[in-house]
This record gives sequence, C-alpha cells and structure tokens, in this order.
Amino acid sequence: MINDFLSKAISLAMFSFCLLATGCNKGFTLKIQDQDVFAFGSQDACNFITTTILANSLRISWKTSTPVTFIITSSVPIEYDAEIKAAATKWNTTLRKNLILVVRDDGFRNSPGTDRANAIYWSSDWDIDQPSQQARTAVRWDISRLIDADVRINAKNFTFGKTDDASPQGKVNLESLLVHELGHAMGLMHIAESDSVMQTHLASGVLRNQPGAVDARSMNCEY
Amino acid sequence: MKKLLILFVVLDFIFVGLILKVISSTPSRTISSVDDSTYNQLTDGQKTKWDLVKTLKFEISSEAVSLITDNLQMICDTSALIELQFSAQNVAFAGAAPMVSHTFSCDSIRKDQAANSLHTTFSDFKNIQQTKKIDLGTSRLAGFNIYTDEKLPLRWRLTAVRISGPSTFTINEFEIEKVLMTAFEFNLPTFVK
Repeated sequence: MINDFLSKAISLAMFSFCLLATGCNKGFTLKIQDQDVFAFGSQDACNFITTTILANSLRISWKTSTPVTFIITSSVPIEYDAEIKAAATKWNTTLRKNLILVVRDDGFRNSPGTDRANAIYWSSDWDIDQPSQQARTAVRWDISRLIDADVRINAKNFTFGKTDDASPQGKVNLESLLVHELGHAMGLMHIAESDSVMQTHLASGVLRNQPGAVDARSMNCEY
Repeated sequence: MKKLLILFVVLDFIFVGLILKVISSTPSRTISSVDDSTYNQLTDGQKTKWDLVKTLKFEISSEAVSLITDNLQMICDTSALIELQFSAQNVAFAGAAPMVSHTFSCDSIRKDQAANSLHTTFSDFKNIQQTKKIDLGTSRLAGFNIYTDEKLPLRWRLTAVRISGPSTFTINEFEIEKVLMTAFEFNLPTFVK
C-alpha cells in the first residue's frame, strides 16, 4: 500500500521536475527566426531592404536558408561563368561562410519571376527608359524571408569584360557587377560608402570586386 | 528511507506551488498594443497628428482606392499639395521597392468644399508601368523603380501621405499602423487593363 503510494508520489514528483525544467512550456514554441513577425522592436536596417510589420521595421534576408544557390541560365555565354563564380567566391571568402553557390544549368527554362528558383539571365531586351542600368536584381519575399532572386544582365546596352582583361576600357567588369548584384540578391540595398561594393554606380573599366568592411558588417547582421 | 522520500515529495510540491504562483502573478506581456498611456505621453503637436491619422479611412472598390478624411479641407487650408505614396509589397528591384506617387493639388480640392477623399484608379496604376508619368489635370501620378520588362507587382500599400506647402508634414506607414492598428494595403485586380 505504502509502496504503491510512494511509486505514484515519485512519478508525480518527477513530472513536477520535468515541468520546471522545461519552463512549463510544452507544445507551441517559437524559434528566433520566427519571432520577428511578433515585432518585439524595430531592427537596425544594416543596409538591408526592410519591411514593415506591426509598425516595426524588419530586415529582409534568407535567414537560415543558406547557402543560396543561383543558376547560370543558358542565356549567359559560358565564357563568363568563371567571372560569376568568382563574384560568389568573393562574398564567401569575405564572410568566411559558404553563403552563395553558383551552378550552370542549361536545362533551366523559367523566365524571371516568382518561381522560387534563383537565376542569372543575359538579357538582350531591356526597358527603354533604363539604358544606363547595367544589371537589375529582383528579390521577392514572404513576411521577412527571401524566397526568390533573379539577376538580369543588360547585354543590350553594355559590353562586359573579365578581370584578367588586358584592355578593360569601355567594358563593365562582370565580376564587379555580379558582386554588387549578388549583394542585392542577399538583401542589401545601395549605399554611398566609398569602400562598399553596393555603391549605385560602377563605371566602365573599373574593378570593384572586393566587398568592403562596411559590406561585411552589413552581411554579418543577418548571416 | 521511506520517510525521507515522503518528505522529499512534500517539499517538491511546495516548491512547484511557489514557482507556479510566481509565474501566474507575473504581468502578461503586451505586443504592439496601443493604450491610453501612449496617447497621454505625446506632445500637443503629436496629439494633433494622432487625431488626424485617426480620421483617415481607406476604401477599396473594384475600380479605385480612396483615402478619406473629414479633415481634407482643413489640411488644404494651410498646404498646397497632398502626395500619396504607394509602395509595392514583398518585392524589390535593385534594392528598392517599386513606388507610385499620386500628388493632388489643394487648389482643386478647395474648389469643391464637399470633397473629403482622394482617389487613385487601378487603371492609372496599371498604365503607369508603360508611361511612368500620368497628368490628370488636378493630380499627377509618377512611377519609380517600375519596369516595362518586369511584371507589375500586385500587392501594394499606402506607405506615406506627404503634405507640403506652408504647412509641411508626413504621415508614414508606421504611424498609420500604430494609430489605426491596420495597414492600408490592397491588391491590384488582375482584370484591369
């Protein structure tokens, strides 16, 4: 009788300890990356695109969904693959993280849009009002998590050069351009800092393929 | 041994009871709630702005969105232009959201003393993708970061009301959400040509 009572009492005691150990928090719990929709406070933008939820500003990024894979589509001349991959490597080595992957897929046929596939296109058609735009990255997100990024390169109005080009004059350095566009694809905005690859303008013949300290600080806010 | 175990169980129950009492007496956390104390802490100027924002209504019909306020004439008594800034949601090109600005002249608003609303039609919204600018006589639309070779975003939000002239101020989306507890959002109908 006493033994039966004791065994029940011990079970109850163990349950009580478990309850204490887990903080009475059984069932629904939130992870850090999910909590932002509850807006405990506005975040520092860190040069990221932001969105407004419940009167608070939140950074847009891939959160924990890294590395992010980008497909080089068949529209891109294969001779430029190395430049595009080098741009991704520049970000990865700067941040010491495997953040961006670039692969060629000549079988990829989707047009730019919300297909949840990130792709790089070589565009021979371009908005006639934007002839000075060298490339354009479109990003799409859900709440504050990026779900899609597409990079278009303006092959209608520009010619592109490689980093080891002997005569770079008059050509846009493709690696530098892609470092910038991949920055957008990861969520960054333009910034007017002289050591940043996210400056608005990249003059022809200029090599700016190394993310600066300001860029690393921005990226480290999210990744 | 058994006495020790019984003592341990009793002490455990007392300990758990005390913890549960502490947890239950802790005030619950409120998230983004607006109460009277928020309003009371505002300056007189902020209270005036708060009261103005409180009068704003946002209506969506099959053809247009309308910002309605009974204070429209009062705003135009001391201002020259009212600009509504709409930003696309969940999409950015080159790091910035597409934006449509619709600017109304207070001169024309004052001519109709019964006017209490500002309308933006969906057809103008769609046409801006091709034309980038539209002059409607009493108001003007301009599109920014909108491209003919990208799909026009369908989800939009009123992100700012800029009032300029002798009296200049801006009501932003944060203030609208804080005061009205809702965002002024809408979807462009896909059937509008």
